Parts: sequence; C-alpha cells; structure tokens
Amino acid sequence: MLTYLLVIGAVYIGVLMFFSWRTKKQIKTSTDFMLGGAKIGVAIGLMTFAATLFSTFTLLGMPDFSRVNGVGAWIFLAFSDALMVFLILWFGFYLRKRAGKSPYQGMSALLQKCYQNRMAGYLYFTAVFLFLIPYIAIQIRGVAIFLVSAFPDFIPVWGWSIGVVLIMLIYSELGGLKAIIYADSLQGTLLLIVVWIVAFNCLNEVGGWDTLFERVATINKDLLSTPGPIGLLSPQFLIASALAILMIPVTQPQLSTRLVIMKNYNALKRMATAVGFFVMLVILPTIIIGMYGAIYYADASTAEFLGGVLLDEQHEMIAAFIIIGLFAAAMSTSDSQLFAMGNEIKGLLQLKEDDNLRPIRLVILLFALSALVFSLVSSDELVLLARLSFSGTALMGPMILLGVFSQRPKGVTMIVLSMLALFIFILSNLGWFPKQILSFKTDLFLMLALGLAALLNFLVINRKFE
Amino acid sequence: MKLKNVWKTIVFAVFGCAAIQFSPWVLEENKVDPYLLGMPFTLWFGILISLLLVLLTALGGYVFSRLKSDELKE
Repeated sequence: MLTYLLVIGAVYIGVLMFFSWRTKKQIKTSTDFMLGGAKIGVAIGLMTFAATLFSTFTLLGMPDFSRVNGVGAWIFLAFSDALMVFLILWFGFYLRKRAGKSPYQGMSALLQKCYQNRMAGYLYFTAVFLFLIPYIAIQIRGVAIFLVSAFPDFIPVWGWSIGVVLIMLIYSELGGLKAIIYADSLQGTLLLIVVWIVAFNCLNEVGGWDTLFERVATINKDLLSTPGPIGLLSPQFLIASALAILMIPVTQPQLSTRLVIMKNYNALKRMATAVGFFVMLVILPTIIIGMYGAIYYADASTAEFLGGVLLDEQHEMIAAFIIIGLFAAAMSTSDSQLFAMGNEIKGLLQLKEDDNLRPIRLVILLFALSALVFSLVSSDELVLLARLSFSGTALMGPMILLGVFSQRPKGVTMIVLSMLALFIFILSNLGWFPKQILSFKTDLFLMLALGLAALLNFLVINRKFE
Repeated sequence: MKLKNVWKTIVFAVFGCAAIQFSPWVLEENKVDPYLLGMPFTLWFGILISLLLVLLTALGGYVFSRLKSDELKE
C-alpha cells in the first residue's frame, strides 16, 4: 500500500502546489488573498462549501457514530443539514446585503458595525476561537490516529499531526483563500467517490441492501430506531443538535465568508440546493458503513472498526485513496477555519486593503499551533467533540441574526445575554454547572432562551421606533 | 397567490417538516415498522423528509429571489 500511497500522495500534493502557484500569481491585494477575489460560481461554491462543512468527522466519525447509535444518525446530521441549507437562502441574502459592496471584513467587524459596539465583535471572536480551535484539533487528531493505525510503528501521532499542520500552513500561506477553494473542490469530489466505494464494498460483503438491515435487526434491533442502543439520540439531543447545526453558516466564519464571496444571489441559492443534495449523497453511505460495522465490528473499538473497514478490507489502492481523502478532508476544513479566523482578526484590527498581511499570517500561524497543541491532548470522540464545537458557536447565532436582520439600533442586551450564555455553557462543560436546566439539556435551554430574547428584542426595537 | 404568501407558505412548510420530524409520532422509541425498500421507518422517513426540505429550498430560492428582485438589482 505504501507505494500506492506515495504515488497518489505525491500527485495530490503536486496538484495542491500547482493551485497554490497559480493563485499566488493572481494575488494583488489583501482581499485577493483573504477572500479569493470574491467571485465564486455555483460549482466551485458547492464544492468549497461542502468540503468545508464535511471533514474527517464525516468520513471517520459518522460511520462509527451510526455503528454505535444506529440509523437515527441520519436525523442527527442529514436532516439538520437539510434545515441548514434552507436557512442559507434567507440568511445569505441579508448577510450579503449587510456586508454591502465593500470587501467583507469578517463577522466580528460586521457585528461591531451592526451593534455600534466593539464588545459584540470581541465576544463573537472569543466564542469562535474557543470552539473552533478544538474542532480544527480533532481534524488533525482524526487523520493522525488513522495514519498511525495504517502504518503502526512508523511515525507517532504527534509526528503525523505536525506534518498535517505544516503542509496546511505552507499551502494556505502561499495561495490564499482561492487556493483553498480549489483544493476544496478536489477534496469534495474525492470524499464523495471514496465514501461510496467503501459503502458499495460493505453492501457486497453483507449481501445487499435488504440483508443489511435484516442482519442488523437480528444483532441489535435498537440500532434501527431512535434513541438507539445507548439512548443518546433522544428528542432533546436531536433538537439541540439540529439548532446547533442550523447555526453553522451563521456562526462559523469559514462558512459565512463563503456566503458573502459567492458571485451573486442566484449563485448562492443554487449552491444552497446543491449542498442539500450533496449532504444526502455523502451521509447515506456513512450510515451503510456504520450498519456494516454494527454487524461485523459490534464489539470492536473505534480504531479497530475504522482500520478494518477503511483499510484492511479494501484494495490497497482504494485504501491509499481513503488515506489521501481523509488527509484532504482534514486539510480543507482546518485551513478554511484558520483562514477565516485570520480574516476576523483583520476586521478587528481594521486593516486596510494595502496593509501588510504579516500580522494576519502570524495570527494564522498562532492559531495553527494552538490547534496542534490541542490535537495532542484531545479525546478520540470526534462526533461528540464536533457537536460541542457546533453548540458553542451556535450560542452566538441569535446575536448575529438580530444584528443582521434588524436595521435599527439594538442596544447591549443581546451582547450581555450571549456573553452570559457562553459563560454558563463553558462552566457546564467543565462540570461546574448543572447539565440540565428545568429538565432541558443546558445547551438546548440556552439556545432557546437566546432565540426568544433575540425575537423579543427585535419586536421591542421595531415597536419603539414605529 | 402573491409571491409573499407563497414564500410564507414555504417557510411554514419547512417549520412543519421540522415539527413532524421531531414529533413523538416519528421519534417514537423503538419504532421500526413500516419498512420501505428494506429500510426501517426512522431511516426512510428521515430521507424522505430531508429530500422534501431540499426541494423546498430549491423552490424557496426561486420564490425568494423574485420576491426580492428589486433589492437584488441594486
């Protein structure tokens, strides 16, 4: 397999460097570097949005998540994503309108403008930093763990992690966002092909579609419904997850940036629909792989299951493609997030078009190093860590929505409430605050309370000014 | 029907889909029947309702851009 991996890996890195070299020649201003020229069409928009949305947690985490929790994993991710693409239509329109014709300086700067209060931007950036760094870290860790199981006794986890971060930094620092977007297109295509090849192999092995579910039923019937064998997929968990995932394009800067840099609204709306179909095409095979795992790897550890189904059972060339696909998935999500945080800093520092980009490059480097350190100490539960990241950033959603939708002065109420909610959420995850409030899960309660507060704020503001 | 009303109907339908998906009827514990195309209820219903949402997104995008056509021209 090593030969296949070296050949495919060399081609992949060669293509990345080609993209990087080509886009580097087109970079003339900081906007070209940070926003890729801001004229993205439907096809590239779809791929970059999907590749940024889907990461190692999709290819590694989702099969394992559905192996353990059953078919309800579909509702957890695919249904929530389908709700999310609808929100893009609405939010994307108002976000683009708010951002106006001047170069987009990131959500932090936009919030400062909307609220006329610097604290709004800093609060948003704090939340994003706190909850995106762990998300980037799990990408790095996910692929590093997988590479260790593919090549035991070769390079340790930390060695692979440093390698991933180095390639990611060199690549994105050279070519800017445009290079990242091209790489995303490559990764999105690779992910879709690889995940379906594995799923077809699983179906062949088990004896077909119908047999898959019949055999799962004989092994553990709880896998075929909610809340699943360990009771995780309860209505409250699924609703809280849906709200958190719904807020991803609103709260996560790497995705909100992509909504703004689309060529026009027509391209944006078509991209939203296409992402919806793409989501279904990517998640269905992960459920198939998960069900296969429930039959053949019922008692195996996560590493044994993933190593077995994605490497040992596949042809060596396919296994090499899977490794490169995972590497690409981790890269495309992580570098987009790092880059988006760089843009947020650019907005907060109020850097101009022709200012030197060195501070931004340094900040991106610092973020990457923080993620690298976190990746070395984080746990292996990729999906649950990702969900924690989604929930943490989702708490900023109501404040952003109010800021973007309301044209009138909004005061500081939402900023203070969002800050309080973030503080409670952090305490709750550290075990210093109850996990439930009034029989609601804490994250769900906080999201609902903030949503209600934003709605009331909107109505009161409008009434006051009418 | 006015475009604004069509848009409102689409938004209402999306909220309806979410309410149905998270209703006790759909999320009833250990409900696997009826099967469709070999799939248990939770999965096929989830797929169908997700597909419906994506189609509503396509339709919603068309209606919303016509509704906001003046602002988009600006």
